[in-house]
Amino acid sequence: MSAAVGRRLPKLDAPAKATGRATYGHDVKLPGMLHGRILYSRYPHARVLDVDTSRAEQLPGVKCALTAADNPPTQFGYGKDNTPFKGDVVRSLRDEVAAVVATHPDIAAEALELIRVKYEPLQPVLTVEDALAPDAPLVHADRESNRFITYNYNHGDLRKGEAESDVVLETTCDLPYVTHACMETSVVVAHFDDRGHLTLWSTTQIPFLLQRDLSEALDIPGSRIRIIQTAIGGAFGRGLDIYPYEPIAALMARKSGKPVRLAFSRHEEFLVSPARQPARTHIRAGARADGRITFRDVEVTLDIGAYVSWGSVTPLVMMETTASLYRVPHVRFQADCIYTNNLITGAMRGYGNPQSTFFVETTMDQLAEAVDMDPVQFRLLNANRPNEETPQGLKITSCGMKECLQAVAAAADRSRGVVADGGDEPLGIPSMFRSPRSKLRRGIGFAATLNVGGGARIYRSDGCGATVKIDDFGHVSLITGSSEIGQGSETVLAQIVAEVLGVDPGTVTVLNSDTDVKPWDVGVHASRTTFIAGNAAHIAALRARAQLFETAAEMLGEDEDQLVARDGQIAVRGGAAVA
Amino acid sequence: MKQRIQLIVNGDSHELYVDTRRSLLDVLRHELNLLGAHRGCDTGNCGACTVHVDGRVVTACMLMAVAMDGAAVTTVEGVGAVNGVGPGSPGVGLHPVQRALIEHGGIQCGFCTSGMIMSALALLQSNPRPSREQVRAGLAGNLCRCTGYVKIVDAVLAAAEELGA
Repeated sequence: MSAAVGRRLPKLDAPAKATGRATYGHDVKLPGMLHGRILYSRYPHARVLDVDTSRAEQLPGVKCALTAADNPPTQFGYGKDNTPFKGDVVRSLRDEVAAVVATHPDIAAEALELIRVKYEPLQPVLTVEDALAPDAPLVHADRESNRFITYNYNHGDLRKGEAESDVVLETTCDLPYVTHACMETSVVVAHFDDRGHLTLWSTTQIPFLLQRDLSEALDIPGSRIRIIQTAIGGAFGRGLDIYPYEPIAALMARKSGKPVRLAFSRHEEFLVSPARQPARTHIRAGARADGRITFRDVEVTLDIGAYVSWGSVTPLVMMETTASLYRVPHVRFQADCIYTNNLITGAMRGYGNPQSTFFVETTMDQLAEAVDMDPVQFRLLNANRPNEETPQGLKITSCGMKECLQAVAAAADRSRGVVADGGDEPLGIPSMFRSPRSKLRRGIGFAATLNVGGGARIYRSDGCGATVKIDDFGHVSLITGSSEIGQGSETVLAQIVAEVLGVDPGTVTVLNSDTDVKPWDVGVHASRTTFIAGNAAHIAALRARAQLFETAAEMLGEDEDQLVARDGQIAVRGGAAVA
Repeated sequence: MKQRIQLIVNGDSHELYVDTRRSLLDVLRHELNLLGAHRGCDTGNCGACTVHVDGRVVTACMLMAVAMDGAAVTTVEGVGAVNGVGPGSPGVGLHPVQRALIEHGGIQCGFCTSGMIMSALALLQSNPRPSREQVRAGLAGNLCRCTGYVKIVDAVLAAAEELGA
């Protein structure tokens, strides 16, 4: 019956990518386009005494140089603590000090070497411990301390939980930086038109929030900023924020009067782009002798680097895992986001959840061992169940956690059986685990996870707009606020619309890359696009179909409820008449 | 300093006057507007710029353009091309490797895809019926950040089967 939904279809964007025709940010070329490069700080913390760009500006091919003198008067970012170029003080090795615009990227790179910067090095804070010391130098002198924010969450009564425990254990985990390492390095092309409106070709995941952020960073109205998303060569959360290079590209375009491309080298990508926050996590947890979890007490300290990003909201997700993964009657969760003179951090896949799942599940194994239970049985006993509300207030409706754990355990048993019966050549075990001289051994571990999906609701709105357009020739276009980052959203949304309108999903045109055209959307993250953009597209398609049916009913002299949309036509149910 | 070279790219001959500092990738992308080979690392590590030069698989970012005088280069734009006209044009179909990657979901962000295709083609030319392990080894120089490789390897195995049938 289903024409489009439920079918396994090739992605609409795949043929262009398989033939080298997709246009990525690095592929955007505009007439007269110039190239920008940024000079970064030499010290993690220093006073900037003087920046002299005069020699760089004299290099043939250089069109202009920029410094903090070109900054708008505003500050931007989640903590409103950032500026395009840093003025009096640099706070990390990735801090932007100056930049040049030239006719070729090589000339721009050469010009950077001609910029003279005088620094007075200051004592940096490079660990959260140093940052929290009573006499620690301040990363931002206008703040009272290096602590940006503390999150606190409690439910139940920790002391009661501990009193009821037969075993209590403590664990500290140090979690490292992890970089997004998108295959395509960060890139942006900026251009001001004759009206003074800015167009930015961007790989962002949040075109409409970026419009707003850029408006703050550049001190120009958001209504004069247009974001065009190119094909995006990887995102993984990197595109969920504004970064200084974006307003810098706009400043370059304004100062040079030409379109400017600013593209990172791979070295620059590692140095300048954000990473997952390193975190020290301390967890205490208890259980009764019968295996029931009694309490969980978690303290997390995140090194957020020199500037705050949306990544400092990740403790909200950690909190959810801590409070609601497995049934825990008594919970305390505290997270501190600490400024240091280290590299910046940001949003990254899972948004805090991989870290919290790691420390929660580590203690699950330790508790199981302490009460002498099989780790799977221990998890089954404490698993979340259908139709319950967690103490944090998450309403769990359907939930197959037990069945899932049991199915995985059964499969693991089978794999162990293969090992036992298979002699020297057990299937699927790499040779490095089989050598008698090797210290490597194969083990089986269990972990469950609980994740947000279908919308995170941490912004003021989590909505998405959609317009369905049907032209004179029956061609269907979906204009959607959502963004494609390779995850297949175009295809899914085309399927949803095609299903309602009875057309082949491959024929639907999805327009999703231009803020001047598409309606508002919060961005692509948190497994929300199919649910939220999908429902918006569904509603738009239903309304379009209703309008068609109204006219078709008149033309055919039939009741609207007798009409169906199929094979690109409106037909009478059970009949062949078409409109 | 500039130097004159001749390059045959996807069957077309080009007389070029190139800066001696430019890589083959620079010339393909900036002089010839062939944007299918991507710059992922510029250090020969990621494989996104993989092309064929005189039948050899190379990373175009690691070759100086002036050293390529007289070379025959094939980029992803030349894959499956008939008389210089690429796939997607009327009457020209996709190469089985391209089609398999599309059908097996081996393409997400797609930034690595053209390089993957060029490495897979070279592998299948030298070893038309590779094992899964041999496909993995053949693609070892091409990084993909999205897929986890499983569907890419599936696609290459499926293409090998189709080509061998």
